Amino acid sequence: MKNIDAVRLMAVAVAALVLETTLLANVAWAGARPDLLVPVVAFAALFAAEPSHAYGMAWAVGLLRDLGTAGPLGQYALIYLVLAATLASLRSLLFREHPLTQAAVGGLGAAAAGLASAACTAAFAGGIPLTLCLARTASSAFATALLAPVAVTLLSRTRLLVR
Amino acid sequence: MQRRRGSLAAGPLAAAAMALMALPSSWTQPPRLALNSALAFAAAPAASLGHRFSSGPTPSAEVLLQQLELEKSKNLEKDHTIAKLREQIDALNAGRATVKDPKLTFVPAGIVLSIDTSQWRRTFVIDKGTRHGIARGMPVLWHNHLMGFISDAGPGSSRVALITDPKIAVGAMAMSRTGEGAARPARDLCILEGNGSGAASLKWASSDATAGDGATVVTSPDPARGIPEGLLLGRVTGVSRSRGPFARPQVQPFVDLRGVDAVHILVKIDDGRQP
Repeated sequence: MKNIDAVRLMAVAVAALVLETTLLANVAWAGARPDLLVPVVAFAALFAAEPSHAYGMAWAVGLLRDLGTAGPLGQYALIYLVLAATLASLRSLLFREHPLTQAAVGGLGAAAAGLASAACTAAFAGGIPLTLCLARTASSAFATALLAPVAVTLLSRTRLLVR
Repeated sequence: MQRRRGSLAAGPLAAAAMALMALPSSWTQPPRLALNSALAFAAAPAASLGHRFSSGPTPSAEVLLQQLELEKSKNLEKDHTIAKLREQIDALNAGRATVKDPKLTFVPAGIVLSIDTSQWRRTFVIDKGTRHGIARGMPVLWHNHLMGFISDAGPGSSRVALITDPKIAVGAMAMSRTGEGAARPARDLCILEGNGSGAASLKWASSDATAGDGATVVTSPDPARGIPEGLLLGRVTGVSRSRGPFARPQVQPFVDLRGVDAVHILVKIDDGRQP
């Protein structure tokens, strides 16, 4: 198994975040948008040669999202790190090349990240209505599940990302 | 063995993330705001493409011709500058019509980044900071609408939390329409609270209050926070009533941030000094 090029994957993460907060922000449904960084974290967790590389990547990708929010710094770094650790521990049980696996991982990952960040926002800023929280998380997870197979397949087939 | 190494790597990273979370936002926000401004500059072409995507169905030929004329006029930099200045004057006049206190002045600011990367927060970044006299908690206006408050201020840019952000709570009162069409204020004062969606809700509104559908919600005076009376907040779009004594009217803000590119910060002048 080859190592993932961390610098190039970070560049992909920056591009994904820009895409999410510009193009996709304006076509978001009911305020929910797909979490494009979850497929990047999933790719790192499923395809990295060493779990520690995936953890580092997930942490850095989370910190990238933290830079653009009013929430506490490190919130998404922790959420994505836990997500990567969970995926890495389940890696032997998953058929990572299958699009359905990637969709499920993307959708569940986005749902978990959405709920965790909502809980964090409720703790640090103020309460979010439960119905809004569930509806937005579900639609964001659905959109991420649709995009995850495309994103993970593209990332896994891009030779530039491995060395 | 691999698993053990992996868990060893995850521990320090988790600890680092939690240590970062414990840092006060006054330390972490200034570098983040500077990075946001740089990112916004780099992402400007993608953002304008996004606005085009969201413009809805294809307009008719007549509308397109009108848009063409508008675009032609916009190309003239002089006209554009005049229009921008006129807009600022209109906004200032509208704001000054509501904000009567001479000790309160307006500092214009442009919107640098109009989105928060967390989908639960409603914040945006402006191009004025502590160097321009901006401080945390100052109200941010567009014309005579209260947009939100400065939540963090860096040297050259600041983050504004919209009134729909979960962190925001502001004193409010509902102006209901009477039979003759005139507006009159409801007797009970409420708290407008953001919840992270595109709308906010009124807390502690009594069930027999006059804040029905369509009522206009304005600010109640709060001298401690420098909020004058009568700034527009939004319109009541529905009231959820429970068994308790309080109703929960939903409030839709009048202003959509996507259509705004400049705001004013309400700054209090102390001892005759300009901010």
